[in-house]
Amino acid sequence: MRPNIAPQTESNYGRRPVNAQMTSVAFVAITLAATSLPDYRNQWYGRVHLKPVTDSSSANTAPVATKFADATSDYARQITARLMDLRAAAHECQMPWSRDSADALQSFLSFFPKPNRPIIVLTDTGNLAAVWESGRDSQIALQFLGHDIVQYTLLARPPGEQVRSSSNGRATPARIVKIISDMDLLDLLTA
Amino acid sequence: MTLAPIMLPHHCLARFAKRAHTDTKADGSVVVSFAAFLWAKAAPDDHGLSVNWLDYFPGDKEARLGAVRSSMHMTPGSKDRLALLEIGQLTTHLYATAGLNVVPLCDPTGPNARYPYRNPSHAVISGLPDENYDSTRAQQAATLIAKDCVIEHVPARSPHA
Repeated sequence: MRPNIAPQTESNYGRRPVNAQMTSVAFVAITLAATSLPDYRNQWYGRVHLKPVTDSSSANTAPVATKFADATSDYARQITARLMDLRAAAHECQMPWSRDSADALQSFLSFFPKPNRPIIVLTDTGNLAAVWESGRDSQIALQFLGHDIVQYTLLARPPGEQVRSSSNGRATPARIVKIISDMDLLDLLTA
Repeated sequence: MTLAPIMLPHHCLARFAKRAHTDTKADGSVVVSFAAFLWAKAAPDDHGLSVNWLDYFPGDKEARLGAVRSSMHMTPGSKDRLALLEIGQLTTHLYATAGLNVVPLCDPTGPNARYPYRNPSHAVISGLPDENYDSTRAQQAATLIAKDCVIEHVPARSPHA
């Protein structure tokens, strides 16, 4: 959509439109905040609801671009097929679809050499989510919000403990892997 | 309007899970994910996660499921599911694991200008975190419901359809 900027006339020639100035200031402020603190938990921006970057062509069910190095592997084919199925479902049910989120999910999954195929679903806000589980006590649930942010809920029962522990919040994908490892749940991700 | 709580721990609620909220495992079993239990307040009179009170209707389980399917006035796809939740297990578990006081409330709908059909079994689960304001807690609650509180799920479409 084109911004509502006044046309250049003799009286305002050379002045920067007010709308453009405000946009630049907001962009710089957000960038600084995000780079100075790597963990999004318990920060004000961790509580901000990130709306999906809705793909305006969500009606289009064209193939989903793969992010996998070996796009011909069974795993890559399964993931791509599932994403195409969800994209068709989004179209059918008139749900939003975030391309950012789909890209982030594929990038995360392609990071592991021998990954386990997760349950992949689409939320009502248009984000993709992946879930890995094992038995009653272990689960990894990740929702890819786009903008390099993942919302996680982890459930685990440490050996010898009676009570299951849980952890939830938001973090970057790299930080998520560290949190998963700290909770001894990496086995769920890889075969 | 004050909604009456459903104080019947052994009664069941049915939550509609659309196809995009479910996935099929390699062994062929279907999973209803947490995405089906995320609640975001959509209107001022939206008091919670929309469900149907299965045991509002008389008869055996199949008859009650049939009545719920009919009351929903929807045309579900073959992959849409109804996830069944037992009230007592749901409220106890969410309080113990997440400190949430959730209460199922009767919320019969229509017919009115917004919703043309009457659904006497419609209910809501109130007390869940709103995804618009606290989405990490909303996801945690939804994950706990999907993992621990779904006693079974059945096709949303009638087997006779």
